[in-house]
Amino acid sequence: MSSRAQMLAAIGRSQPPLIPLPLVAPRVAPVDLAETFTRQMGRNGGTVVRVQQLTEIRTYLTQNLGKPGNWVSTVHGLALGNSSPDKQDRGHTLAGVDLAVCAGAFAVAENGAIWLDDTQLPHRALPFLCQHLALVVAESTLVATLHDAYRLLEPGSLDYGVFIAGPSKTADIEQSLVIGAHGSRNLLVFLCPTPLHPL
Amino acid sequence: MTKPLDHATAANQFVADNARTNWHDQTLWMVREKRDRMAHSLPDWEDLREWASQIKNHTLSQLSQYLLQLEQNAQANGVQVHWAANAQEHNEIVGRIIRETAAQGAVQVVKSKSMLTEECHLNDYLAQQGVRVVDTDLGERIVQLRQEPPSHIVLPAIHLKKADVSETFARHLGTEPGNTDPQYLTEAARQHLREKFLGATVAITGVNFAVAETGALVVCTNEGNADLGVHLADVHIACMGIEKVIPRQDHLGVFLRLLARSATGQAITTYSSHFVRPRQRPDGQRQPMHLILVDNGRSTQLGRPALHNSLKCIRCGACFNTCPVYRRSGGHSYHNAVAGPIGSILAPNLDMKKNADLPFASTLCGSCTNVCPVKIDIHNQLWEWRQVLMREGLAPVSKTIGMRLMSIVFGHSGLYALSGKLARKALRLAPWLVQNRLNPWFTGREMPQAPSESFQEWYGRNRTKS
Repeated sequence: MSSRAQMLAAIGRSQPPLIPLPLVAPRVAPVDLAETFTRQMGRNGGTVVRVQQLTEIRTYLTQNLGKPGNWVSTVHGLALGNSSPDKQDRGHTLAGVDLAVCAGAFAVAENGAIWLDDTQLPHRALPFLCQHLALVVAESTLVATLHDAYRLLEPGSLDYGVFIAGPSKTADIEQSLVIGAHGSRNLLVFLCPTPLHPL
Repeated sequence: MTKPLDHATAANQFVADNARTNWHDQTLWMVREKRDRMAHSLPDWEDLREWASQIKNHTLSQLSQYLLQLEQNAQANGVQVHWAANAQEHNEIVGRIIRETAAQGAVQVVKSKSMLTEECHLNDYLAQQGVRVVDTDLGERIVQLRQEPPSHIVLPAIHLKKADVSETFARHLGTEPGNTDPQYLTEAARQHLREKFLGATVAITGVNFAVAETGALVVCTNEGNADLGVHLADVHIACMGIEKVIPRQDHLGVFLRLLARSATGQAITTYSSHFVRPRQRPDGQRQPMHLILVDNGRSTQLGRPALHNSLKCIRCGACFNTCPVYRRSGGHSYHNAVAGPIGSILAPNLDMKKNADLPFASTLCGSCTNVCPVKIDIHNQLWEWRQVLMREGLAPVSKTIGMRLMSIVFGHSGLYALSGKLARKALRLAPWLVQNRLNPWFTGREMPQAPSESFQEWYGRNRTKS
């Protein structure tokens, strides 16, 4: 008998009689989504910057991060630096990226989590390998809780997706919080009123 | 393998360093307090716990069906699904996949946190095959370099101080001796591990939740190490215990709201990754992706009505952080991959004889049960195991002799009255009879002031008077 058959038989013998699924009905508390999101992102170690249009993002980045180095942008209409990541590249070529700017599909106010999937990412490794990460989020895409967020994802439509809720971090050395573990060293979130379109 | 020290003996060694024990105790309590602040800030916290508990109850009652659904959807997504009845088979499957990959060139394996692979002793097995695995979670890398097991499922190096880490990194990573700055040490590990990620051919991950409805495997990290491994390596191997399956995608809303808040007091982990279909490689092929479903005793535990609740566990570690025994005895004293209260329920299922001491490593205060996000009645299950172990004759000798004596004394009222009288006399007239090292109740305690008579004697006297 294969392990599969053996396991399924053993589990079938052991599992208790049917217990029904509960009705999950989260409470809806009205909150200011942008304010809650901004506060929570701050707690997570990220920074939220409000912008009205795409050009402000480039201005902010050059003013605060200095001369563009190896910067890449996957945001439609926002050209930055000198390279654009190619789907044909192995992820390893992204190891030298200083700054990556990507669009988030939507974000969750209660915990600051921003959703990205293969639609926003030419390469899945990009937001993890870059030294600094900036995500562009439209205020109109904010939802209150994770329950609301999962309602936006059609089951079965996804190849890969990730909630990113801040810069990479660790407290594994004597519980001292260190921002910048293996992934991005910081997270900058550009919050704009509606999805930005190129001018 | 040599038999490890039992919990009480190992705990005795742990508390010998008073300052360190206090630090361990207070630090974990601080994590517990962070969890409390999070719990109190969500109005539907108690509802979430109840829903999570019921979803898990339901899933366990339909486990074989959900595993089949998960298998079907994962296969449709292009994932190869393997079934492993025990740890040995799990390790052999991983070994075989690595050998197949190695046939095409040198192999370098990176692994993000997975308590299941710790339970199966995968690294030891692969080392015997000549394959070195690099653990990429910072805490796990620290303990791996020290050749120690993790002491906590969420905070693997919580038993260490920064001076210990500094010494370890100076020896293995060439950091400046004596530099104990966590920022500096983390940066050194970042540089060291980036090299490993970029050179990896195989990435192993655990699974926090597997969604039957979609085949999605959800992995949560703060460091980003699971994603760095998977997205850069040629092959992804995900290892999960069969109890990690959940029915639907929308259930993730319930579990992800609970997990990080219960674990470290964060609203959510930095990264919550959903691996569904393997990534497309430049040559147009999909990255080979494997899912290993591991039983290793879980179907046996599922068949124990009083203990199967333990399979609801989502490995948040909240029961560790609140446990007065864990906080003052350290994870290594539990000699099991999963320590703490929940580990003390899971371990005897893996090896009843070797782990017979663990259900006794508890005061049964119930704090674990009160913080558990999926409402496992942990302290009841520990008590249940004690009864099983007593019946099986596996309880520690000190306990069986004591229990036998007590049952004789409590079973005979004359003997009970006499022994009470003798004990009170002894405490008053010859305290050294009980206040010595032979009496385990005297260790670390003052013996009580003995009254001159028992309540029964007093009652008898006063009742006849009125």
